[in-house]
Amino acid sequence: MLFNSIDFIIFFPIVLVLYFATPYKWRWILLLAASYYFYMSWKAEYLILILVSTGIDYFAALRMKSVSTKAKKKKYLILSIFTNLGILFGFKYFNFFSNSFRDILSQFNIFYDTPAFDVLLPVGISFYTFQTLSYSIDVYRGVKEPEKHLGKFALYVAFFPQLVAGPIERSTRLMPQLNLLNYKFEYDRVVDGLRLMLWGFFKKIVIADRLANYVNLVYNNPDDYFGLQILIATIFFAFQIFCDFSGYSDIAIGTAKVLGIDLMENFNKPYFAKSISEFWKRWHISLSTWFKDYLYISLGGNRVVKWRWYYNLFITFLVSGLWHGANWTFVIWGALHGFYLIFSIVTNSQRNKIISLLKLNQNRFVLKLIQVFTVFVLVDFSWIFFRANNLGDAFTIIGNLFVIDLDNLLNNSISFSSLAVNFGVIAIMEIFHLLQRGTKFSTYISARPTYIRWSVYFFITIFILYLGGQGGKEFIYFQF
Amino acid sequence: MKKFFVRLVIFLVIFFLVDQALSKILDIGRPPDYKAFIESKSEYNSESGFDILFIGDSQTADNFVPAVFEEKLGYSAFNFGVYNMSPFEGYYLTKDLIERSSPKPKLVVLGTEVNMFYFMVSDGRFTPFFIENPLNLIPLLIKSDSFESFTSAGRKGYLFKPTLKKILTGKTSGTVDRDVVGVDNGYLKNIKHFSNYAKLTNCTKNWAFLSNEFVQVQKDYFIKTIEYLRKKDIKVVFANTPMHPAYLECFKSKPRFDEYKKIMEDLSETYGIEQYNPDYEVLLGEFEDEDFLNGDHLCYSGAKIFSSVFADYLNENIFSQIKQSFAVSK
Repeated sequence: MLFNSIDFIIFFPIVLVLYFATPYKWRWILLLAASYYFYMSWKAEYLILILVSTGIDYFAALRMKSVSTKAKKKKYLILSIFTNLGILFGFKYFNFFSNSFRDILSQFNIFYDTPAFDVLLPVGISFYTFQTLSYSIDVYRGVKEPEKHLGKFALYVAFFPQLVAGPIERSTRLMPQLNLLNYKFEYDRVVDGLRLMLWGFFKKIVIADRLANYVNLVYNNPDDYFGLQILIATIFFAFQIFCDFSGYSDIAIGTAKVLGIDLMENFNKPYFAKSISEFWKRWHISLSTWFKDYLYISLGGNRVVKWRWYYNLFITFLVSGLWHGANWTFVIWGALHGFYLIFSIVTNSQRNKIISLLKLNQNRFVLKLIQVFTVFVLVDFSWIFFRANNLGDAFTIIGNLFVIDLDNLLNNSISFSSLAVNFGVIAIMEIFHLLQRGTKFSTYISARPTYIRWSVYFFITIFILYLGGQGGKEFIYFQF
Repeated sequence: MKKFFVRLVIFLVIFFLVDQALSKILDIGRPPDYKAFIESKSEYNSESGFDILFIGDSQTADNFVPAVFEEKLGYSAFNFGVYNMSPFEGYYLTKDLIERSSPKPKLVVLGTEVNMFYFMVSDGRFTPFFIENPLNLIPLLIKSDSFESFTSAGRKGYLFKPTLKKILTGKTSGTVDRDVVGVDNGYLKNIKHFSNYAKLTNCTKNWAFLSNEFVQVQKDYFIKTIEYLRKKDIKVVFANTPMHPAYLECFKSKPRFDEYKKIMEDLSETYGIEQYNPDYEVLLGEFEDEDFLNGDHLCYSGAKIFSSVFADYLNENIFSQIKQSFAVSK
């Protein structure tokens, strides 16, 4: 089920009414049933994967607690890792590696007909497998006690607001909340959650879905577009993916909040980052901290010799790229970010010297502007690989980006007024971001006088209804 | 909880009022062709019913002239072609029209076209205006995921641009791009023809309401429409309407052209339904360029010619089969 569907508009109020009408101790049953229904409304048979992952991790964690030696614990951890990564590999990566293997062999004139596993990618598979994996690793590390209640653990794996696209929650944060479920209908919290949902819908339906029309046109026909058309499409994609994914996160966090549960923040105005490392502290926070805690630190983090530190960083970003999709475009995207980060560390002192030399540090605003702009350009360039349908398309787009076609400066398939509206809605969002400063959208709005608050609600609702892209577009991150 | 619901109700009431006000403002920019289009369908007289009903998208709306069928065949006809209507919406509209028709039509001509399985499910902007039964309208709105369709101003979203233009310049331009000189049983007599020869022959424009991918839902609903009409014992004919030869040549190079032909052949065979003009060969090259509004829509002069030929076809091939039931009803 999509958040931006009429189905959800019907589903959520029903769940909400039943939830607050149900005694605390039985609420987990209602939420679990609702979560499974939410998932099954997409493709019912894939629920089996969630059940397998849930069952194995529940069992492995309990066994880890009951055995005495570290070696025995490790056996159960490996069972959990193999199960989750096995599911992920089978459904997401098998064809990719199989085809890549075939391509490599064909370079040596060895022609081998690789087997194909022709299945639909289960929605949210990368999210819930990573969430359960973190639980198993935490139990192994002794950070978390294993959950004894199978039903509540199943709810932790499948909690519907964040099941298919995160935030990827840690058991240490989410499990205690799901164990309680003793939340009353509190006006402020419910309204706060609804506000966040409204803002998420605005970002998804009004911005991301509108921009998608332009971006898809250009990126699906890379040979036909040049210069400014590609530049606009690439800038639009930067905002499309941000609004698509952060919009989803806002709706997820808001939905959970209405139910009384706090999910972690997933985005913090990433395009205001002044460095690549800051960008990753603001973008998809739940995934970047996951990789930091469970991969980067496991590899040794930065407590190693320098070359090994760079290697750890690079591998982490490479794997992060692959996590996003079984395609070389994502691997290149991850590698680019790894390269950016290592380059920024290596050149840090030289860059500081240049800043001093140009006296840019005397005017912090100008310096900040340059830094934000530079990071945006670098990140946006990497989005070309992320969005392109394949590597060939990505290089065509980069090549065509530098071709100036004066006769067709703008994309003739999209009207000028439509372009103006697209830039206008992006501007509205960024103005809100600037006004919010350090606070969240809902906190900022709740501090305004009633007439401003209600005006904002009306305008956003009207924008969603009248200026939204054609409804029902899937969220980009569903494919991951 | 009480405070929350009181405020929610106040919000919804204010929103309803704002929506109604916006909807009225949008009517300022209602161009004559749009107005004529919306009003033309209100002529559908369900009490006396029509013998022949044409249902489909803009190509159906533009290309079948009911008066020609009445004149040549002696049976009443109504054109319920709706701009931008997808097969998904067509199902609910067909149900609605048949349910409120008494007696029921004897023949439904389903206007078909190459892009019909590429319509986005959510796009329908006009069809909800014509559906009277909420039991048909509500599922259409829910399944379409078209949030704007739920609101009065949202359904008139098409009028944002002309309204703005009217407010800023005082002028109103056409929105559905027709110059309407009269209405005939749902058919708009449009005398405007193409203005740009290059556009007349070029089929590469990417329309915003079309998806790049095949939309299975559209095929499913087209089949549902066929099955519904069969259940109601109503004879069905599929009909492709003419394209400009150069436009057709361009269209034939698209993969969706062969894909569409294959689907229609299969459906025709599976359900035993006659398909008229499956290869777009009928009258090919016999129209003047001025008979076309654009590459795949005729204007009034062309539509009269096509309707006349199609009426002859119906007389020879279809009416011989259903003459008896027509005779009984008449």
